[in-house]
Amino acid sequence: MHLNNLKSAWEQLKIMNAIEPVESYEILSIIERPVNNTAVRFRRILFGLVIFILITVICQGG
Amino acid sequence: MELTKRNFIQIINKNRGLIRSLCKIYFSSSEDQKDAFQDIILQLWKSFDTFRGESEIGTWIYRVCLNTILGKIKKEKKSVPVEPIDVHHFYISNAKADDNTELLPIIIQSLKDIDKAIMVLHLEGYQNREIADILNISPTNVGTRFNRVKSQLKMKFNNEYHASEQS
Repeated sequence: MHLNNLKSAWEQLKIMNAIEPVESYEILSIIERPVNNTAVRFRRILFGLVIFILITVICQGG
Repeated sequence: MELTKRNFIQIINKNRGLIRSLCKIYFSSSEDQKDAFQDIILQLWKSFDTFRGESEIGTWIYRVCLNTILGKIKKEKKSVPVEPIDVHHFYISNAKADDNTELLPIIIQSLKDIDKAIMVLHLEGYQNREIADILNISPTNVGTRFNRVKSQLKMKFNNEYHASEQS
């Protein structure tokens, strides 16, 4: 078993898998897809709410 | 279209064979391969801004591809199952003995996930230290694993060679 034979086989495999082109619109549809921000938004709202409650409690104490 | 996006599309098209080959050796169903391909494109795009040519473009692509695939497998517990050695001997003995291109995917798929990555990076000519850096593991670990992979492959190829000699 020679690793060099497998090296050329790997190169051949890459060439075979490159026959079909990737269309620009396919790539653009992946990278321009809107990210699901629901979790991030929820975390921000929760953080804001906690801060609001803290401030309210502290201010009432004065 | 922005210049950055145009450059990115060119890079992806230039390396599509590599990305598809990695997806195929890690995932068996075409749906999973497509899914992995999309994940890789997205991760490459996210890290495209931070890629400043400090490492070679091939190294950057391998780093992102393999870490995305290994992360996906860990998260979703999806990959080509490592088949028992006997099953592979059967396939190998039925394949053309001198056709390494036909045998290579079968052989790589019989390795463990991390070993597949090490094997492929060795085939690309990377040294243990570079592989360790790409996969975030120690060079000693890479060396030990690669030696184990080599002896496994030697055994498989010898069996395949003997099978072809007997037929």
